[in-house]
Amino acid sequence: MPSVVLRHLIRKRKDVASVLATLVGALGAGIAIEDSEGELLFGDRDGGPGGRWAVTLDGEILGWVCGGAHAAAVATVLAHLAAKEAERKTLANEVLHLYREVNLIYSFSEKLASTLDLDKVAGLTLEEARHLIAATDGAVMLVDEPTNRLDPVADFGDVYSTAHSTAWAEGLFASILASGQGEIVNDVHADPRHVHSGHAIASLICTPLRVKERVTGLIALSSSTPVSYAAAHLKLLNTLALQTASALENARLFERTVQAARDRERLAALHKELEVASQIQRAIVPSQFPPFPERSDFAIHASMTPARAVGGDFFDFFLIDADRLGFVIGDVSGKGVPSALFMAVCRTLIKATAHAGGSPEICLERVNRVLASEEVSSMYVTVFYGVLDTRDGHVTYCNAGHNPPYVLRGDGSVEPLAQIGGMVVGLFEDAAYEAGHIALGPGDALFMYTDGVTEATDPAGEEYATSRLAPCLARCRGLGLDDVIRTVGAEVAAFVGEAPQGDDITMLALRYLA
Amino acid sequence: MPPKILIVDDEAHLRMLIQQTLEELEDEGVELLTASNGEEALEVIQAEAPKLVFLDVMMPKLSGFDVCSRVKHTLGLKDVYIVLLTAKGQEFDKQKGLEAGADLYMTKPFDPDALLEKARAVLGL
Repeated sequence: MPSVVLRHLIRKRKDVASVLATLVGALGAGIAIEDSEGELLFGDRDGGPGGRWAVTLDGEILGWVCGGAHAAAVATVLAHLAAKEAERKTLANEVLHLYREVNLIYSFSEKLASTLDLDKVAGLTLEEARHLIAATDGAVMLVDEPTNRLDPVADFGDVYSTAHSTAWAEGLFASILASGQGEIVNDVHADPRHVHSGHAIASLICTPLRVKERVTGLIALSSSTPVSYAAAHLKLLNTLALQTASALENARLFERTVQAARDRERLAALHKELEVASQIQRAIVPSQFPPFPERSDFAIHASMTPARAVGGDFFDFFLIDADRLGFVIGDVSGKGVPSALFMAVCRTLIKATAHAGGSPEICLERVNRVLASEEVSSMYVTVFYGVLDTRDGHVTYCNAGHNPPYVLRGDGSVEPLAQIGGMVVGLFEDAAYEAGHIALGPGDALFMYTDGVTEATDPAGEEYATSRLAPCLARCRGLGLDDVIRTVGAEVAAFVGEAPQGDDITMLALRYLA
Repeated sequence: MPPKILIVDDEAHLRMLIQQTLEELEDEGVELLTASNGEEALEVIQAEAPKLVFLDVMMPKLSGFDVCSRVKHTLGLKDVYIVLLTAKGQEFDKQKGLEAGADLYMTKPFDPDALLEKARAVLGL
């Protein structure tokens, strides 16, 4: 019962004052009202002799009514009014209490609505909880789904740090998570579910965070010294949990969405890099045809179609001196940026070594020694390297594990070049290489390609194979080199149809004209 | 003379809530007065000269703006500290409040602690 002060009742409550005046007027008696201290509140003491009647509320004397016989009735009326006033105050207090709660929810949800940051939402929740409930330590913890750990998103005090989060998955918290019911445990050490892990928790108040039927985490407040948390505290904490659970979930989803967007951006950046690498790759293989317009003693043409943005195929040709043309085609193991890098290194090495003037087998032996000694993540490259003597059409070549080129004779015959050379380049430092020789007559040509041509696959899974390539080349009799390459390319493309391109497709053709 | 606070709101429950919020000030000699409409508020202000008025904006006939403006401008009672109470979510015309001469505005639902603190600050308690 709230205390009622008689002075306030009589002087401040206009309705009471008017009832009193009316009553005393009607009774026509001299009456004096004093408070419990004896201070005069109403009337005057000179009203004549009489008695003193106490005005009581729940046994407590609020004051006195002095006067004749009627004074007793006035005292009864005042006591009644005081009781009514006490009742009104109780009610007003309760309403005010509810109002505080409404205001809390109102301002809290307003604050929550203004942020989508997980840490901020958790921090705000904890701040509000701490403001309402006394605690030495506290945390908002979320269940990490794959590991089932309880990870503190926000915390204060020493108890709830990430270091102990695995321990939280057992004992009291596990029980609260499982039941989905908030709890007050005022004597934690006496609770059989408590796991004695040496943490300073004497009393605990804890409630789960729920999103629909799912328990996503919990809010825990605790005290290192024993305290008595009350049902009203749990009610407040539940109210907070109800408000914050969805906000936390939204923030978590938002964070994931942002992360996904970042990943997408990173992927796009990577894609862009690949594109740039591809452009560089295209830029470093010759693309101007005819490359030596002043020379009428030979013709050369090539094309390259990478399967991914960046491939591992390459080709090159260069004049070693006025009478010798070097030409090379290769295929690096693997695909993507690493094989493209390896390819660039190979190409540069071969060109540099070739310019030293050595025969193809000596050239590849040196390149192999350098690459194999570097041990670049066990990558290797198949290479066909040839040198044409433009004075007589003689070709010296070395085939290091590459598909055998075809010799296209002027009479229309098509034959594979004898497989002479050695191991793929880059694996074994001591690999030995030997040279092969072939004489080209005027009009004879060499057709070189990578396995992207013969291993091109149609939708049924069948490979194009040399059994199709050789006849196709035979049909190309009389065509210029650019048309030979275009014809083969078109036939391979038609064969593959809607199936995806599996590998780089590279072709290089050389004709001796004399 | 004890300092007086006038609470003006046409809603009885809000008058009661504010009164209850400020009740502890009564023990420090503050007198709490109430009025349920603008006309009554003007009468009480002239008769009792409160130092602080919590004034609801949305009232029938005479609005909080009107009462405030009359007190500050027509009656020239510039020393009366007037706090306008406005419903949250409702567009509050700050310019209008400023023109009417209000000293402060607070939103409803109000934070009881903030309201009490403001009253103490204005009365110097």
